[in-house]
Amino acid sequence: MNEQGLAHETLSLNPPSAAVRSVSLLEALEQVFQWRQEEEADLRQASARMQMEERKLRKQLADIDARLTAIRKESAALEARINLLDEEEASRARAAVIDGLNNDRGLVLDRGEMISQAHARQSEGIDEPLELEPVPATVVAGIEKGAQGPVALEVVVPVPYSVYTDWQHHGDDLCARFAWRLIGAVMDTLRSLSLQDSPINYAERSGCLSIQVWIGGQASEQDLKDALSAAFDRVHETATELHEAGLDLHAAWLTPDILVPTPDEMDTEERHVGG
Amino acid sequence: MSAAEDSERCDLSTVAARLELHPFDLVRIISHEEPMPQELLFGDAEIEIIARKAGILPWWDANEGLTWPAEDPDRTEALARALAWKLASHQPTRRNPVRADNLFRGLKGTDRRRARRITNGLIRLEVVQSVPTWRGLCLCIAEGDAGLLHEMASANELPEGLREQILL
Repeated sequence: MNEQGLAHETLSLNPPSAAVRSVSLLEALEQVFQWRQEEEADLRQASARMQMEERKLRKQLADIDARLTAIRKESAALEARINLLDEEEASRARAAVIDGLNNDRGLVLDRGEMISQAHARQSEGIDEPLELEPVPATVVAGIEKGAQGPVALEVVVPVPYSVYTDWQHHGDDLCARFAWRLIGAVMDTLRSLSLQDSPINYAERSGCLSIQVWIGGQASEQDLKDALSAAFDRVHETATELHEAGLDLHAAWLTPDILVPTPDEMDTEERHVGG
Repeated sequence: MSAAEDSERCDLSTVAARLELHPFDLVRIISHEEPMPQELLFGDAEIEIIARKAGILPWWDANEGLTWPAEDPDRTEALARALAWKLASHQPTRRNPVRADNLFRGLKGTDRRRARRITNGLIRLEVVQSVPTWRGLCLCIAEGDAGLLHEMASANELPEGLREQILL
């Protein structure tokens, strides 16, 4: 036997029997099958977990998206409210100015009534000293600005507009005198700026008298404010009838848009040209 | 100033009524050159100064017009001719206009209302023009229309446009 034949012999002697070989293969296949089953189950489980996770994330994403949309909407609403603040402020300030003017007009009317009753008693020989607590009477002033400087000056006096339209009825009562003093103050202002020939209109603002002067850019805003403030101070110091009535003159400077009437008021506003 | 003198002085609304001015116009005239006085009471001399500053000049006296025909519309026409003559005589210009209310100052009642209507008619016909001033509304004769006023004053017939307006 040659070496090659021996080796062949060895081979032919050593292989396992066919039955043994078949079991191992089946086992191996079984193991493969088992592996496949287990692997697939694991993977499917993992995949299911992933899908569940994905669904969960998608749900969270949808929730976040919905919240984002809600936040964007809320943010836009807040921006819109911020943008409306100027308008809202002007509207509230205008309401406050109207309330204040109405209140002060009522005070001036009340004081006028007290003064006239006291004067009537004096003329009957009953001399009772009249000591009235000081109350504020606030005049509202505004300057309308143009490209070349102030276009117009407006002063609203807390007295009824009827002091202009029905002056015979008022005679020289406190409301009329208050109005005359303020026209005098406006004239002092104009004279100090060499503008005393400027056109003056009288109009109604929320039932009160408004003195409106065309400035036409011929004075600076600061000069106009300084001159009018000084003129108000002089009225405050020297107007005897205001002292007697305990009216404490104050001035509130406001932007003209607060004084501008609403379209409804514009429709009913009467304008009168006085010179 | 004594109390007696003080009591003779007029308050501002009385002065306004006396001068036939709106008190607001009066305040403007008083304070055009100087501040308002501390006490708003005025004596005769002060009222005269104010009237002068305001350019107040009655164009009619009490007896004027007594000879005019009593009945409408002839009286209105007579008044219109007289007013045209006064305007042509005074010759108010844009630089030197006349107070609008001077044109009927001195007239009373119906004649005053007629004179107002005639003045408004002349403004609408643009024979007379408005000149707003710090003293109040003033008027001047439109350029080249002085001759028309002379014609109106002398002619028996008024211009048709004016006749229609004043005899409404």
